[in-house]
Amino acid sequence: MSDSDLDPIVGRAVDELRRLPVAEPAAIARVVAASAAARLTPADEPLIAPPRERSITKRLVVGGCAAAVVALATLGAWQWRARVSAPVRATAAIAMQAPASTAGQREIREISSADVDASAVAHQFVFQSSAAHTVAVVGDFNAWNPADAEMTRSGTSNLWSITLPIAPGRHVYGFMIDDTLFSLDPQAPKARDPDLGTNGSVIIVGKP
Amino acid sequence: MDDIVLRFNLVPPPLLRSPAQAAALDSATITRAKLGDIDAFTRIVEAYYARCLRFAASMLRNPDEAEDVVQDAFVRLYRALPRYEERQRFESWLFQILGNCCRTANTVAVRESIRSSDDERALAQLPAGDRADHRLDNEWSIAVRQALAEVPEYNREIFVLHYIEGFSYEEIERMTGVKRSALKMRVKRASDFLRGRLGKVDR
Repeated sequence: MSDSDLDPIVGRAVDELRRLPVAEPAAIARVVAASAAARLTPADEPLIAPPRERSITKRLVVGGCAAAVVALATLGAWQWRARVSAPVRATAAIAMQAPASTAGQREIREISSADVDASAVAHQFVFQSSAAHTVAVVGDFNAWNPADAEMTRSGTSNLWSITLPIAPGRHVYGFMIDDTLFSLDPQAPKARDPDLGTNGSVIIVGKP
Repeated sequence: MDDIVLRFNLVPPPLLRSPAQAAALDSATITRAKLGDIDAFTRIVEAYYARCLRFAASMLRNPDEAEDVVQDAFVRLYRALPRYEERQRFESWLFQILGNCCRTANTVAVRESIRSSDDERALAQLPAGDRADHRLDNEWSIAVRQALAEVPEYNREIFVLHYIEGFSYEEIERMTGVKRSALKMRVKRASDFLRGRLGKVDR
């Protein structure tokens, strides 16, 4: 049934019902304020999916599996940190003051490309700056390498953006402005990151 | 109820437009809102608030709750935005959330009597000396909204989504999971009901 098929009386009723109510600016402001206040931070994430009740048997099985996973992850992390954590810390420290060295960048890029996760999700980073000449996103997903993720400015606007493949999970990141100034994402929650040694912005990629 | 009668713009209604035309928000705005940009989210609210209010007023047993329900829907939307997947149409997603909020509000209490008494009060509040045709407009407006309120909810929602909010049957099928043939039947039943009720008051 299209508009032309409508009975004239129903058509008039439809015309009446299509009248838009007035959108009061104050009402819109209330909606925005309530929404901003209610948005969850990553720390609240468990509230979204509370743990389900499980039987004792299931808990034992799940607990055993979890212990095995933790043991494997610890072993893997020990091996990974032996390879990567030193250059990452070095780059982060340099990045706070001056551009990273070319040799350091090359070494880190090789590691990060080798670690690309097949289940990575495309994620767009957006940063607003009118004064910046270059902006790059740096984070644990690209080994804090500003040369690895330079953002592009959208026309004459102040918006800089880049889309990167990010492995699902929690990541810490920030923005490198003009290769010298590290800035957090004002739109994202903050978290202290032991590798970076200072606050970082946090994203959760994929379903928690 | 004055929200329903007095605050509606008494201007010629726009032609039926597709939702995409009605509020063309660029994907960058939605992406920025997804990342937590409150300015981008404000643009989304500004673009959809009036339509959401119109939909909620049509769906709620107590239209006085429309503003609260719309606010609840936007709060839920903002909290869920990080999980929004762009292959899903944003507008369909918003109206799905809003529809759920309306259903939840309707299950709280049956308040049909409030609606009719509020309509009478709102009509009584019309300014003295109002033009006769203005009054007729409002009588027609009240009659239409009362008739729509009496359409069973499961028929009304599809009728409003299709004819008032401009969603295609294909989109509504994706939103509700109801087959297209059943959707058309519900719209026809709602139309027949409205014709029966409004035929008596048509001027």
